[in-house]
Amino acid sequence: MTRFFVVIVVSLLFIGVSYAILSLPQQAQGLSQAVYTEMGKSGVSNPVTAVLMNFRAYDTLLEMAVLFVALIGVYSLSYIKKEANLRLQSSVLQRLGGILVPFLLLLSVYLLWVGAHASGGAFQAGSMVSASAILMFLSGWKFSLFPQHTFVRLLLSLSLIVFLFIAILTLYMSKELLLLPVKEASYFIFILEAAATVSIGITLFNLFVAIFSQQKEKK
Amino acid sequence: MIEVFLILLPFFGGILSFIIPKFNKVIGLGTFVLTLFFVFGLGLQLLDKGSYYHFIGGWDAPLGINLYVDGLSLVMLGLTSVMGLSLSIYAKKYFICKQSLWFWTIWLFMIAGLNALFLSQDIFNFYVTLELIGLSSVALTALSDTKEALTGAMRYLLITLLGSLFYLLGVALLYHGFGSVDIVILSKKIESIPVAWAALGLMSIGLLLKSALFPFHFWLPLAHSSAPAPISAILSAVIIKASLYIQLRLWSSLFIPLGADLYFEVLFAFFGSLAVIWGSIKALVQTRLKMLIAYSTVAQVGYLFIAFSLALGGISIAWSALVYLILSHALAKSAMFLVAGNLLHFHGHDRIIDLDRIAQRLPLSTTAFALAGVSIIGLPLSGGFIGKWFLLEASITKSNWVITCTILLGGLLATGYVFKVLGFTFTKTAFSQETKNISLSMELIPLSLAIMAIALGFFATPLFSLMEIGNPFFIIRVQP
Repeated sequence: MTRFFVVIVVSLLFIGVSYAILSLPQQAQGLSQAVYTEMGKSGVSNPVTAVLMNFRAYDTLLEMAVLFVALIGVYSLSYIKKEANLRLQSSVLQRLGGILVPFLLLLSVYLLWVGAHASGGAFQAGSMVSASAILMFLSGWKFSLFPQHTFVRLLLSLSLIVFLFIAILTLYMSKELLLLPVKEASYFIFILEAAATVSIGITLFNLFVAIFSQQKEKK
Repeated sequence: MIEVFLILLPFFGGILSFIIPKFNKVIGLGTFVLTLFFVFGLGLQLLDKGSYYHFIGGWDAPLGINLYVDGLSLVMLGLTSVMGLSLSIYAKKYFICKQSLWFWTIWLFMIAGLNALFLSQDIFNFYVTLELIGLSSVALTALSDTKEALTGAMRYLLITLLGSLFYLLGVALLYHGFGSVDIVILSKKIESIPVAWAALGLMSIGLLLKSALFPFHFWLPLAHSSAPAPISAILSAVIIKASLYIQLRLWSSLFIPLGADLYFEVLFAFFGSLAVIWGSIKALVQTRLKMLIAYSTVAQVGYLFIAFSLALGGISIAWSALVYLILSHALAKSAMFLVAGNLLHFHGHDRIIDLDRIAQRLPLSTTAFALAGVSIIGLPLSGGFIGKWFLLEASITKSNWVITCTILLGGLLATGYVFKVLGFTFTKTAFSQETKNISLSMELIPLSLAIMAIALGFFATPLFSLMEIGNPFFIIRVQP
């Protein structure tokens, strides 16, 4: 009975939303025109980066905070005490990791750099960093990126710290939050993206490891 | 410029308490005291200059994001910072070491998200702040580390994500249809085409899920009653009103010009009335104190939506009623939850029939509960009374006798459940119970919150003039 009801509600919703979408005018009234006209002042030539890191940098600041809270929320549930010690014992993985990790890190730096004028940027580079850290962790390398160390906590919050620092700096310079001066905008954006790459990489890695240690405890 | 510090400061405090967990209590309390000062500064500036915009990044909409400060946002920011500071003082004693390690960071981030929400003027930015406060409230609910709390938190997570997704779909439709996410620009461009109606429906459903109006209230009692006491307090006091605030902003500038108010007026009034009756009856039959208070929240949300419906019907006094009910309910309900937290700590349980002479042994807490109850019932001179009085006046102006009767009946039922608890504070149980000591600040905080809820009744005129700065309900007024 409930299932029948749910099917009816969902299909009504589907019909309504698809009718609304189909009735939309062919040409979207988006903001791409406005983005292209102002792009010269943004300091980068990739429209996505310009929107994320300059026009709507404030949204990105809040999104970094969301990511950070997600990680802290997981910590508050799992109370990680020791390093999670689930490792895949495989000589192939170890050799492969040794070869791949330097390249992956190099690739993430490239992605970060290329974000200024083509597809790429902090989020892509950050997931690369986390992927290589996960690979290292699974192959059993001895390294520690856990929040017991003040240094790691600093790295985790690096992106937010840099964001807040630049926010205060721009407030001091121009009385407007995150107003990046046109000439120096590209430097500011690069610093913001570099910091975001580090934080995103380590945050994603820690989310992965926290889930691992959780499963281990249940057994 | 002051307004941005209300967002940056809690973020900064949160990060600092994450990096240096040793001093997290000092950092947390210090941040809240500073935030309160900044809200005062903002209020003075607003009185001086009137409402104003802050163009983030100097871009201005449609390209950038604008912040907007007016009387309504000031009142909500003031509420958030007062609640934030008092609950922090309470939480300092409440949380044990293990929990307080992560509590302060999440807590400060949640307050930053709330402040950002009350300052926002951009429908996508609203979504990001909703995610921030949603995730942090789920994490804080789960902090009490019991089976119920985990179930409650999980349900809360699913509901809050579902609500966010509905809302986001609406944002996408509005952006595609009208080419902006800024409320002011949208209000000029919006026309009555199917996309606008679909967005209206989706966004309203998403936000109603988060506000827990009657048919969507099913997740609220468990989540609110199993969370740690200060978290229950903030959830009932501010978090469910944050989504109502977005609803308010959206309707007053976007959806009322569409001419949608007629159907929704009836809908909100209907479900609001059902919520009042159902929530109050369920509260009356509860055997555990925290559950009783949580169901009372379900009923109070009903009042808020009755006021909302009357306001949509063009009765301007209903807007004042709505804001006043938000404020008085926030103060009174948080006082009640903190008292329940005290009792839970004192006895180790919160069964109402085994309260065992609380009136003698914890007189301050009992007084706090009684005073908060006075405001929840809406007895004269309290803050709740002013809100309900305006609500009654609005319903009589509208000659809507069903709503008038519901409001009166709800008051009667509230008297029932408040006095049910108060009655058992005097009785003695047959068996003796072990008790634990409660620090004085944990008793004084709910008392002062309850006194504030009563005192709200005496400051109606200045508060209303503060709320009117920038005329947040202007668009409604010019409607015939």
